[in-house]
Amino acid sequence: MISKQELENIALLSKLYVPQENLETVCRDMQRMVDFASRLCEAPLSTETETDSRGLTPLREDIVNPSCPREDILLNAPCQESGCFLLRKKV
Amino acid sequence: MFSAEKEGVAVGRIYEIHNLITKKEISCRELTQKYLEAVIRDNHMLGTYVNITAEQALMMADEVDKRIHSGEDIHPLCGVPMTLKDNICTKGIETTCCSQMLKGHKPVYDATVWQRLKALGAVLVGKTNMDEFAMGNTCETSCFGAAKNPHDTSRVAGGSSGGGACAVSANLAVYALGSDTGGSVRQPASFCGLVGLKPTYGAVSRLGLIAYASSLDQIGTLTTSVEDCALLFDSIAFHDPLDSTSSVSFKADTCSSLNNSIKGRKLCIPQEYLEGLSADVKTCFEKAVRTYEDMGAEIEYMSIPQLRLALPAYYILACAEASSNLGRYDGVRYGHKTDLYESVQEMVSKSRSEGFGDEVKRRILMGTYVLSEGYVNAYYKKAQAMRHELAKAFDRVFEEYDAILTPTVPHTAPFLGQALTNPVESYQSDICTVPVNIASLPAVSLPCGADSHGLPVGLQIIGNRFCEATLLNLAYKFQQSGDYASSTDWGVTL
Amino acid sequence: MRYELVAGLETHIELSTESKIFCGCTTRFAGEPNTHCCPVCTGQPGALPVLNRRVVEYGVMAGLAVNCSINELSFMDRKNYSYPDLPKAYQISQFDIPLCQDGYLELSDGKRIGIERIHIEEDAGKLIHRQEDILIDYNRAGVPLIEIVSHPHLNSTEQVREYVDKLRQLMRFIGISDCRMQEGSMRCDVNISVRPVGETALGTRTEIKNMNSISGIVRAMDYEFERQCRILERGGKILQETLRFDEATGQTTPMRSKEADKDYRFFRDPDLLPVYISKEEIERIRAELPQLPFVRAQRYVREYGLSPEEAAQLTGYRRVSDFFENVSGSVRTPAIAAKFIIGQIFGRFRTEKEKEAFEIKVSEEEFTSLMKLLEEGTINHNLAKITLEKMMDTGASVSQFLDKDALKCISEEELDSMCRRALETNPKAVIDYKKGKEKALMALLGYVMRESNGKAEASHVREKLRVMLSE
Repeated sequence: MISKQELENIALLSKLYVPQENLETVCRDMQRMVDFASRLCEAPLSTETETDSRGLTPLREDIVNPSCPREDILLNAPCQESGCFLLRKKV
Repeated sequence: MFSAEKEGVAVGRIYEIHNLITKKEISCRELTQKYLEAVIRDNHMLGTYVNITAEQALMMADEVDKRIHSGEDIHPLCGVPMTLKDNICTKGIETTCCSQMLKGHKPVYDATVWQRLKALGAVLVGKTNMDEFAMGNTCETSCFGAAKNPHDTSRVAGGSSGGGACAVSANLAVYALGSDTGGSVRQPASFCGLVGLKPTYGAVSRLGLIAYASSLDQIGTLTTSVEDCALLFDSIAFHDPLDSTSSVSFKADTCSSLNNSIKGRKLCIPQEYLEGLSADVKTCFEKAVRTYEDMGAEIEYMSIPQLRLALPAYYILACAEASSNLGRYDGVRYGHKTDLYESVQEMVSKSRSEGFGDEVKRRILMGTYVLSEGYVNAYYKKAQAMRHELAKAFDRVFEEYDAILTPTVPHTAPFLGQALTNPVESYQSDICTVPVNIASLPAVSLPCGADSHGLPVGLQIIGNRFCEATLLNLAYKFQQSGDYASSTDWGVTL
Repeated sequence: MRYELVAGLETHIELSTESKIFCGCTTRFAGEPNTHCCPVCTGQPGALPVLNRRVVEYGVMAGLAVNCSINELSFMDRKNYSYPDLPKAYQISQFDIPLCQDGYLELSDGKRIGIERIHIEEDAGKLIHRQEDILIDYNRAGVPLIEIVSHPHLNSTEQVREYVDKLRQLMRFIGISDCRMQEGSMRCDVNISVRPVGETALGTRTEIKNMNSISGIVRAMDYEFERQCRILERGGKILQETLRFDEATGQTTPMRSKEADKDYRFFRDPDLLPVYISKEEIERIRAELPQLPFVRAQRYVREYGLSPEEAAQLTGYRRVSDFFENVSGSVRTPAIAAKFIIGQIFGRFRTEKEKEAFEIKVSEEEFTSLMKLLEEGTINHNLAKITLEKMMDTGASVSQFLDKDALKCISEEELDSMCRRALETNPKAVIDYKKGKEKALMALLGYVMRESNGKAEASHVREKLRVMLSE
């Protein structure tokens, strides 16, 4: 059973805020998903082999390509100042 | 000059349009205008488009008309009105993944596939509706409301590429690109009576496809016919050096073999896929099997026991990757940012909690859980092992058989609101489509009949990796064997 | 109770590739904020990484330089955590199967500091903390790093100092990084614990993060060692924590540790595939590696009879070392060439940058010719010195300064006549000398040296003059 404490830890790691009043519902939802996934646990599967059938990672040459113009990088920024992303410590 | 009548292949809608505009029976602009008018008329009832790019569409159409008038030989896809799922990046055009998190977000680059289609002269009518961040199978988790099924608007179009399927099925676009992670192109295709292809993993570039589950996602096609599907696939499947998972050696050529004889082809049907089917789906599927037999294919029923654990494995892997892929949405560089906060940590958590819908949040939490220290071995690593097992099992199947036949979904389109009452139960309808993504295989869904309400039923054909030519050949022959195409009264009539 | 210090270092080194690890943006230092960026290194939705070949090569070079075994197949993993300088909320790194493992770095006393592993990863952006807010610049995000993890084999600040120095010298020498700690291209995290002398089990360790100067590391370690000893003596327990070193106060302070955040949920990055480097490729890289500085230094002492200090000077910088390497192969007595290089050529350089660049107008061939002439006795030491200075000033070849005639030795008769001329043209000096002023001899000597274009042997001339003056 997923405890509320466990859920709070998971939420913290996920950077998601679960309000106190919803904790129980979310816990139940999570439990259902975990139960569903747990069907896999009984399967006698060996976790030894490591294979990626997709092949090997391609390597690119060490050549510089022009970067994006700064306006593009900052285009969707919620806050910016002096060419940097701006993050106020509190609002 | 492109000849549509090659080796007796039918003229699909793409070529129809190509012929109309190159013969100047209608200008591309007029054609595009027809589509735009239809969209404006029908969209609010269908929930198809979340962004209608009228200005750009007309500009692109004018470009095409210029090229035609200059006597240039144009590609068949040139001037054809189409749409993109709203998780495919379009430079300067809002791309939201139908989430509050990305409302107003304008990518600063084009997805590779879109770059290619643009160069070929495609006319973008708009961006289509989808489940938020592609997480869902009814298009109801969209922050813009659901896309409805054009055959019956009290029912869903399917998900997560619901908007794209709706658009094509409602004649509001000639073809659509969607994305398929666990069935998100094939299932809506099945519900709306379309041809939906999920290519082999690595066949089509993922650059610019906003990620849900990176090892499962693929851009797929939604068309009204197999010949359109083949043409489109051949145009968008190529190596992209900017996508490390893009296949280097695969050369797509499905068009030239569409009409090959399928006599003697060996097809199999895993019995695990025949469980829990609705009566109508069962009937249509069995009829389809007999059709293949009549065409000379050899059918065998067999078993792939690993299929039983595919669904839990899928949800573990997909949620795990999603939880990591969506970590970047923190209100710093782009996306929704909360108004009030006391600390940076709080800002991040609040922004994310406000920006993401419930299903997305559930999957992120689930993903974090299965990757966390205490559980990673029991869940994530086990799911990876299962994946490996399933892939091996399919490899063995394809040593003996050319393709696998299954229904696409065990049922037809459900009513709106049904899935939301119990999300986990609704995962069950992905049972036929999900194993395909896990094993990185290609699969196509095509209409094979209708239920007693007239709702389309889908037949799924699964092929071996990079064997789309075989797949579409089998699909084409089936399509031509009967009258399965379904039409609706919405949209444009040419 | 006497306590022993036990330390291990995690050293992050920025690789000097042209482009970033997963995209083509430049790695050039500084530059206007956010002008060396693209969708990949700023984590835009839909962007994908592609691995830079040279990063893998440099990683292998680093591994070979510290005697690691290289894994032909290694894997890229995601390290998930949330921080404003991390664009994707995960860092692409290597977790359980890194590029290199099981190497060592030998200190001057022969002690081997074990190197557990070296892996490749990406750097994060830069945060500029202000009073009310933070400015973020992602130019540095995606710059390739290698992380070198040592075993906890270091037992004193002197050893740590030597380890860091040697590592820096080595990585600069093989050319994979400029290792400038002040600029941040080399940073160390120090893991430090204490235990009673004689005890083999490790005590609880603390981690001091982001040290960017050797003096800082030493100060931080001294403080932390004291602090831990004091706690243990009181009977307390050491808390396993992450610390920051405050330069101003000289103290270590805990960083705000968020317990739950320590779970990085490592898993294979699905956007990348396994990294493969063939045995042949590894051997090719090994063959192209220069002989390493310490090995060269030992050889110079052993074979050429240089002093350890001279050897160290000559192997401190790659270009100097290569210069000497090439010259020493062609001359009979490399020790002499070494003295010239150290004394005259090296003496011209002030800054580290200059020493590294080693920009001189004298080519190896020209220098070798000069040394050969000296060895053959065609010119003397003094003349060689003067000529070398002229060559360094103008870049002209040896033959320009020493023509055929001049290369001939001066005969005794010529020398005698020069000496007699000296006496004749400097009567005052002669008188002064005879009066007892030794210094006057210098004027006469100077005359002869000038006359002979420096070729005369000074001591020999002095003797001659003395003899003549006493007549």
